[in-house]
Amino acid sequence: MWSAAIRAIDPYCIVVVLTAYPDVESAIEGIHEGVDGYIIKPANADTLVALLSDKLAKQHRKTRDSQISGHHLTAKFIWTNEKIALLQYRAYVFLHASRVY
Amino acid sequence: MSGENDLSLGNKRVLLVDDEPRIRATMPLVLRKYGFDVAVAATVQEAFDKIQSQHFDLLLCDLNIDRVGDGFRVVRAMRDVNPQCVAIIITGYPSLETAIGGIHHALDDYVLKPTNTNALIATMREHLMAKHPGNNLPI
Repeated sequence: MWSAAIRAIDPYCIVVVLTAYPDVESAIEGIHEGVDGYIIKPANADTLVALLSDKLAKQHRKTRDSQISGHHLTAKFIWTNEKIALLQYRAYVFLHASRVY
Repeated sequence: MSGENDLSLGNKRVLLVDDEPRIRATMPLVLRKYGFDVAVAATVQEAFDKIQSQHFDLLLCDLNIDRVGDGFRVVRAMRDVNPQCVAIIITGYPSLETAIGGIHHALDDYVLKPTNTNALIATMREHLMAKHPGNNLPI
């Protein structure tokens, strides 16, 4: 339950699965874990950035009145095997999205 | 206490959408035994009409109704009207594409047919409790 572990640290964390070995079972597992996206490698940078932008915007709308509303939206990647966890730091997401993919 | 009562869910409103007459004839009977208040739709349009006119706590929707994958249209319609409604897709034809679609539609669950009744009820109960933590459902 890796996404649960991530959200135990940060409940607002956006979690995206990135895999070169997609299958129905792992996608259904993604539904059960409530992940925000499931992207098949090789990842298209535009698709990834569009997904992140959409999720971050929705998250920002949802949480703007909460305790994290004052956070700077920079970004950070955590690599865990085939999975990426994205914390809500927008600038860093775009920096790495353009550099990594 | 019977097994059915052990999993009782009070009087939660469920919309069941399925084009198979056999499912529409049997599933509501089972769900009502567990205390659900069940409405049934056989088509996407019928589901839209019910979503617009009634409140539901949980959507139990076949994936392929009038067309392949149009269960997601019903999920989107429900989310527009009632974002808190639990949305569960049921399918006998799972695929990678539709499972990924389930992630993008933020489905609460993607259940494969044939489904075990107790497992399905337990899944429904789990998601209802997660969406409504302050709502004490009978154990």
